[in-house]
Amino acid sequence: MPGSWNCVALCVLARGLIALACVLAPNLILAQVDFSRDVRPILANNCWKCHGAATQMSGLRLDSLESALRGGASGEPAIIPGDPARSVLLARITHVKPGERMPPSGQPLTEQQTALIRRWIESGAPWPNELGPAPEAAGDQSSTHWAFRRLRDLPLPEVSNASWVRTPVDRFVLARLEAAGLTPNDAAPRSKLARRLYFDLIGLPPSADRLEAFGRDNTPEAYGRLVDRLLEDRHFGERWARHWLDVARYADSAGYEEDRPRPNAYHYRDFVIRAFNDDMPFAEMVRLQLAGDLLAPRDPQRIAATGFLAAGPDVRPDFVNFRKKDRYDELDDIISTVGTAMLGLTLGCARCHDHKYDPIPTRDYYQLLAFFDQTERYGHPVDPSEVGRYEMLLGDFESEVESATLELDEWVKVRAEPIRLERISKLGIPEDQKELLRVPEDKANALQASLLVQFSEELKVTDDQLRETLGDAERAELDLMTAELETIEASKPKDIARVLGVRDGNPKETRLLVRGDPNHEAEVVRPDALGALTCQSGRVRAFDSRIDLANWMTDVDCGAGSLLARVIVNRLWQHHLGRGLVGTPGDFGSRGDPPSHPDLLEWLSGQLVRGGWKLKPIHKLIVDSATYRQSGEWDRSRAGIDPENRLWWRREARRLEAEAIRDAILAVSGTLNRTSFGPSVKPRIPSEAIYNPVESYHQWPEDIRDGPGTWRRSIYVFSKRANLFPFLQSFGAPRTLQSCARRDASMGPIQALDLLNDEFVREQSRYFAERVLWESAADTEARVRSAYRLSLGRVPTGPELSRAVSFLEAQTAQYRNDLGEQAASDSHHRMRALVDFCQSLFASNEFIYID
Amino acid sequence: MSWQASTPNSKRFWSRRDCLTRSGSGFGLLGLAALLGDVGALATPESEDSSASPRHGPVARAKSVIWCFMYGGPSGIDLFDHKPDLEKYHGRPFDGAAELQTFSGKVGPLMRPPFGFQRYGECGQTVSELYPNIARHVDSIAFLKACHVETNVHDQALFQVNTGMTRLGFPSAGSWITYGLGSENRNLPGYIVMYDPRGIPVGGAPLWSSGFLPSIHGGTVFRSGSSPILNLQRPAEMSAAAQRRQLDLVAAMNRDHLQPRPGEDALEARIESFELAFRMQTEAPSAVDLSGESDETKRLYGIHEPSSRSYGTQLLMARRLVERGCRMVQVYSGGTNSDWDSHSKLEVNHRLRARETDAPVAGLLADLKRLGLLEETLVIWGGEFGRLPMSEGGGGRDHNPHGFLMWMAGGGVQGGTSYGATDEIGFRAAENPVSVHDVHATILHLLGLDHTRLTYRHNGRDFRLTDVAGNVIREILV
Repeated sequence: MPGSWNCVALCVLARGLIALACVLAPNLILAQVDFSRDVRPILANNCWKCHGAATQMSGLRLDSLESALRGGASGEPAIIPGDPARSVLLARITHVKPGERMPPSGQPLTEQQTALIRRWIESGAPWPNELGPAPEAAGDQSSTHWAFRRLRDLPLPEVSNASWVRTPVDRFVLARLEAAGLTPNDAAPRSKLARRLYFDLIGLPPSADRLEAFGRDNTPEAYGRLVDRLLEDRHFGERWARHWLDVARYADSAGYEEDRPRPNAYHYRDFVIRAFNDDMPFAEMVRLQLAGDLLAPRDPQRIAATGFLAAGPDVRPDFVNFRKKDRYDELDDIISTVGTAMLGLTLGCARCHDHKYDPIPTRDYYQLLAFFDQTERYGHPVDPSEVGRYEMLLGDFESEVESATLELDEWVKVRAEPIRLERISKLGIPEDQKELLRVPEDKANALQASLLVQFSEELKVTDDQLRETLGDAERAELDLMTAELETIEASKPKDIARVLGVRDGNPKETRLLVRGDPNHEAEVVRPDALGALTCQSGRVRAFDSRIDLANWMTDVDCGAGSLLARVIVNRLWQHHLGRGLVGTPGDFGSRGDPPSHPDLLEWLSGQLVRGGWKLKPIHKLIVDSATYRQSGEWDRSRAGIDPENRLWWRREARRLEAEAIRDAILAVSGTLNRTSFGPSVKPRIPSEAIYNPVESYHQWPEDIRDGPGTWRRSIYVFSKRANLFPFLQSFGAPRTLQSCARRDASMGPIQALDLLNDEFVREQSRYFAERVLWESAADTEARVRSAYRLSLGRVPTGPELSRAVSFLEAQTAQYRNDLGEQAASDSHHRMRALVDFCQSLFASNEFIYID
Repeated sequence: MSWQASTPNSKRFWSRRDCLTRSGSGFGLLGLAALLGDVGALATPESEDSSASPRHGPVARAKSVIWCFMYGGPSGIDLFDHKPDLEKYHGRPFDGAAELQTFSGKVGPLMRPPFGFQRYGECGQTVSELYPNIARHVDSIAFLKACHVETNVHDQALFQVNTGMTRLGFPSAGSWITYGLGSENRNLPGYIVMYDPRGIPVGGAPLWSSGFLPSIHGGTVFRSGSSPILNLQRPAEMSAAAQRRQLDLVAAMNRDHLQPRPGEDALEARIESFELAFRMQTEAPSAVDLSGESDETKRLYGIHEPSSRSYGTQLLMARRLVERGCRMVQVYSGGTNSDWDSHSKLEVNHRLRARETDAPVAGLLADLKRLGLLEETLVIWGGEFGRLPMSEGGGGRDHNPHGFLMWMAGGGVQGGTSYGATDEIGFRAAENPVSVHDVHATILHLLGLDHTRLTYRHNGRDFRLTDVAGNVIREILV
């Protein structure tokens, strides 16, 4: 039942809320009490602190049905299913005396909350077995949260207006629309469809020639041919890899103080692009990202997939102050990202306490952690045969450095000691303290050490001070030794080509942490999967390595495969239609939005699995559909029924993402360098937006001039965590620090300032203007037509044409007035005006919002 | 929505309600404002229960915050919190030296402050000779003497003091504030950061990032001069008239484009965003243009002295920005190789840093007071941690995350008070320790926000600035 209008009445009755709130959150309106969604959170937030796993006041636990039925010290059961009046739990939470009422402190439960508990007890207090759907009970999984169930086979729904249907997707959408009394739009005009397809599938605008050729092809197969061609386009992978890199929180540097570059990280980005281009089965892609190093230890391209695990910020592994908690933070980054990206689950919540809303106990979190406990970032050699030789060279180098350093240190120490002793004797401190200071540093006790630190500045013999005391021969000897050391240090063997991924070190014994506190270790846990997504009877052996995790993740029958399929299918829908079938693509748990079209999600996910996890057929099902092809036509009556377009009766215009805006600007001005793959590039950043905390740290160079080398697609722009690319950030590119399932679409004046004043945009507008001149030098009107055709893929209307012409004339006169005829010739002024006009097209809504 | 009734005195509230009534049935000003991000969480009807509004009922004391951030870790025991026992035990080894993990790894003997102290004001708070001007304001200041963070590493501590977490990726306090309250001036960003011209603090721009909040709530870096914001200045060859004509063309094209697309709210908002940008080009430079300020005011901020000119200029800019409705202005003292991080020669370092900040901070307090703005402006002073009472390398001090001093003034804070204490040598918080979450909870409270209710749903979880902790320090409230 479509919730949005039904809920309004209920809502107004219940609490007098404004209707908009209901539209935004129809899942809050409760037809039936659902334990996980409605009751569990109340118990978790109000009761479990004192009646849970950690503490049992009065002997009472309320975190399982069994213990609630058993009751506490009084021996009375806390709940009697079906009989709220005799259930002590309800009596205590509604008690009129504050001293008797539970919870004893803080606000009493609201009427709505107590009503929910009453109705839940009335309905028999169903407390679903949260340890997953057993296959035996596959027929009756109704008590399990929808996302945790196994995929079901579904028949296609019947619809009245069958002629509208193009792919099975449309049956699901149309059935809902018809039930709501809504008619969907017809297809958009072909030119709009082509622009839509180009941007959605490859993230670049169609060239004007291509667009015109498509417009001339009137055969019914033309659209399908275009879809097929774009799915095979090499830019397809770049477009869709960007979406996946968002959830994989990919970047080219480590973040934190030093923000070290990761020159070998891009192999992961290239793996994702290739996987999408080649239509690698998604299950395989996931398996490699979790365990590519173990599954294909000889194949650098597949090892690169584990860049997924390595992509998070690096809390400084070699640092002296590296804390135990930092390592757990690092592991939490991995677990949280795996949860959000692959399962749409917020696993991080279970780090400190059992998940309050989803059946994910803390134990499950640490069992998952056990898969990764010994996993570390590692640059895998591209050619393993080079490793032996390299390590030998490196070993030789290091021992040479060490012995030369030792020799030099010893030489210096012997000659510096007399100076030190002399300084000690001159210190204005008691003689007994001086005596203490005279001991060599390596033999000092605590008191001596403390004194040595106190006077370290006074007693430090600098290089220059030492030199002053040396004779010529000794000075020459020192110079020689120093020069030798420098020569050796300069001969460090060059590192071999590497791929950033992970590897497993020595096995570790993983312990559960109480409340996530690294200093509060509890029992040992073994690697294991989430109980809620695992059938127990199908388990043949204990889990061990990340390969087991990868297998479980993609196991549709007995593991997380069904959920994995739902989550990725939802992402495809989200990026094609603007919003997922589940509106919270990173949260499929009970607090996330329920699917607007559960059957469609189920069917599409099933198609993915039945088709061997290939994604391109799913793309095709979606973009071939009449649902996708609709026009944007809007009217008040249909908007009155479904203002949010949740049932998809129309197509909404969508703003291009940051990268697509930059790429489209480059493509239209004719400067885009279409080279694929390879190390990331650093385009120019205005010097005032370059943040270099410390001079010696890895900086963004200030002297870059943009050119073909930097005019690459934005997915190849170096992503430096402490200094993200400002233009892309303005338009909502992710911060790369956590998995980002849905981009921030807020807008503001900063974006407008960028489009008006940023040097990149101005420069590209100049190239665009030059291209326009080159293509149609003839006259002003021809130039305007050409600019419209190149940027918006259409001819201007009559009024648009005359408006543009008068703008160009007035702007030319403006420049003539501002800059004077002497300063520049008239053709320069005309050119400036044309640049301004071309820039206006980049700034226009039509350029950035795709119908 | 009940929060309306509970804040009858708030001008902001009334203007927002005006907005609501004017918006009528269709897409109106409120929706436009929401798309442009300049109304806060209070106005977005996303919570099912009106009691979940972050507005906590009592009148907001503060409208804005100016945070004087002493980057590198200033030494509270050398500036404010005099520890006589440190004089007594000077030169003695520190008892727990063996177990103590310090940043540099070296633990010297206890070291007395190289500065003299006096008591000031009615409250009798001690202040060292380094801060003679700030000392005159102690009766307006609430000292938090037992602050602590979880790490002794600069960047992680900077992240924690800004975002509550030592890890990267969380929204900074300024972002939460603009998210919660929106902006009072649509022509200026709500959260502005000025860093020391000598360099940006380690950790970089993520220190003022909006994290997972909409990017419009991120801190905007302001510089002094005619182009305080990146890309604020129009291209060199363009006159204002030329750009206005270009904007008119864009607006005309966009209106034509909007006309057959009545269902697309965002398109209208984007048309408005260009007008905002154009106004910002005028407003932002004038907000930081000090030519209209009197010489007397500039002297007050120490702008006439070379050492305090830079910080004084920034703090005067900060005052002008909060006057114009900015919510949070954070001004960092200390840049690359010239911050408060005094591992050696603390005496020299702190004399320099104090001279750079004393007159400006005191001037800010005095200026706000005489303009009647201190009541509604919360001023915060502090760093990412403090410094140990032991010596490092003779004359320096290492990082101290265990117990350090911050202070607040104005904006509903009771002056002349003090909360918490470290042990007798200033090593560790001993009495009423204050966590970063407590500091944040208090800041939000003073702004009229309940830190437990100011939440944002991200990747399935309702996040707070204060995570799952934080207590408002009521002892220092008016």
